[in-house]
Amino acid sequence: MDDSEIIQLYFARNETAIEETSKKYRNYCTKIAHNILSNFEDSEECVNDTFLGAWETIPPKTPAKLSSFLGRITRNIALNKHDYYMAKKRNKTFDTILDELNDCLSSPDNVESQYEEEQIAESISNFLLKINEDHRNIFLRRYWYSDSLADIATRFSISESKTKSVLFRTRKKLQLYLMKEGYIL
Amino acid sequence: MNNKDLFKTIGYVDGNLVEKANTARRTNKRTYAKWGTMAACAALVLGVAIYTSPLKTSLTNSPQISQQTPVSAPTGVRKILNYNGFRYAFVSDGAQFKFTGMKPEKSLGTIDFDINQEIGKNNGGEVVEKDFSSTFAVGGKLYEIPTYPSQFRIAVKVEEHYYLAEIVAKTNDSTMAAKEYLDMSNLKEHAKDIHVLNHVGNDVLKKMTDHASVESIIDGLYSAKTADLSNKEYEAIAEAQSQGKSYQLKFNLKDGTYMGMYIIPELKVVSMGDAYYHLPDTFFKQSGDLFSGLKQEVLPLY
Repeated sequence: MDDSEIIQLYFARNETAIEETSKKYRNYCTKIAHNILSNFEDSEECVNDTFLGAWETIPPKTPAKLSSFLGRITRNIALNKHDYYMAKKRNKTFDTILDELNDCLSSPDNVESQYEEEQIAESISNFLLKINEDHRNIFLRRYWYSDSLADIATRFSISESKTKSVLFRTRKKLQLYLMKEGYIL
Repeated sequence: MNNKDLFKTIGYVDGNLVEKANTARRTNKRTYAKWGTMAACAALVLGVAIYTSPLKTSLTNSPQISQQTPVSAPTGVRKILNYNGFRYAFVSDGAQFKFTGMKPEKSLGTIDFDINQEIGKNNGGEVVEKDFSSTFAVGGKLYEIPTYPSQFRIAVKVEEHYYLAEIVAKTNDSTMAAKEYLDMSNLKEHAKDIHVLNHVGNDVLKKMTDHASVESIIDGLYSAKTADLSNKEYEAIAEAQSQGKSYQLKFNLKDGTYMGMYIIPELKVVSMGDAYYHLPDTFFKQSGDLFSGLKQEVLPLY
C-alpha cells in the first residue's frame, strides 16, 4: 500500500492504518529506535508508541513524507526514554553521537539560544543541500538515523577514521553556516 | 540549546533528504556487490545447511527435530513470544519443524495476545510482557517437547505445522544465571559436538567432537558470571564484533538441531540467550586450543 493510501486510512479513522503502517515501517522505525536505545524490547515499545503517536497526530497533520514523519516521532520518543535508560547504563554509542553535536554549539547548554526547531531545521536543510552529497548522507546517517561509525564506514566503503573526519568537518561547517544565518546555538 | 535539542531539531530537516540518506550506499558498487553476494551466499549456505542437516541425522534412533522450511531473510525484527515468565525467540526466525520419534502432546495453552495488534490500546505496554503474547503465530497452541521437560524449548502448533521457540530471557528482564540457563537447556545431555564458526556463522573454523572435551567446555560455561556491563564494555563488545573478534559457538544437538552462543575470547565474554556473561581464565585454560589461532574475514555488519 502506498503512503497516500495509508494516510487516507488515518483520516478515515480506520484502524487498519496502524496495521499497514506496521507492515511497511516497523523495521525502519525499529532500527532507528534501536540505534538510540540499544535494546530490542525497549525499541519495540518505542515503535509501538510511535504508531500510537501517528494515530493521534494524523489528522490534523498530513505528513509530506510518511517515512521521515514516523522516523521523527520514533527519534523523539526514543530520546525521551534515553535518560531513563541512561540510569541503567544502557547506551553508550548514542551518547557519543550527542557529544559530537556539542561541536555545533557555542556552549554545551546555552539557555539563551531558544529558536524555533523548524526554522533552524530549514537552515540545516539548506546547508545540507549545499555540501557534497556523500557528506550530506554521512551526516544524516549519523545524526538522523544514529548509525554507528562502523555501519557508516561500511555503507560508504570508507574507513572509520575517514568517517570521523568527514563528520567533524561537516559539524564545524554547519556551526559556521548557522552563525552566518544568525543562529548562535 | 543543548545537544539533545539540536538532535531533535535535526529530526525536522527536509524529509526528501532523509529519505535519500536511507537508501544511500557506498559509491564503490563493485566492492558492495562482492560483499552483498558473499553475505547472500552465507545466508543461503546457513539456511540450506540447517535445512538439509536432519537428513543426515535421521538414521539415528534418538528423537529428531528437523527443520522443514529455510530460514527467512535475517533482516526483520526477530519473532518472540512470552510464556511462563520467560521470553522465547522463534528458532530459525520462525521456520517450521517436524518431530520424529516423539510428539509434543502436553498442551501448555494458546497464544491469545498479539503484541503487534495491541498497539494503541491502553494496556499495550503490559501485553509486551504478558504470558501467552507473541509477535508471531498468534492463535497457535503451545506444547511441551518431551525432550525438554524444563520447557527451555517449546513447540508452537498452527494448523498442522510446528514451530520451535527457545528461551532467551525473562520477561521482566531480571538476570538469569548461567547455571539456570544451562540447566534448563540441559545442554550437557543434549550436545553432540561443538563447532566454532565466524561471527556470521558461514565458516566452520574448528570442531570439537570428543565427548569428554565437549562436556568439559559445557562444565566450564557453568563458571560464567552474569555480566553487568559498563558502557565501555558494551563499546568493546561492539568493536570486537566489527573487528572480527567475535565467534559463534555452535552446539550441535543429538536431536538434529543446534544451540548457538557468541563468544569473544579476547574480552572473555560469552552470550547465552540475550545476556552476556564473563568467563574466568580457567575456562580458556581448560578449553585447550579451541579458541587459539582463530581467524575470520571481517564481514560488514548492517
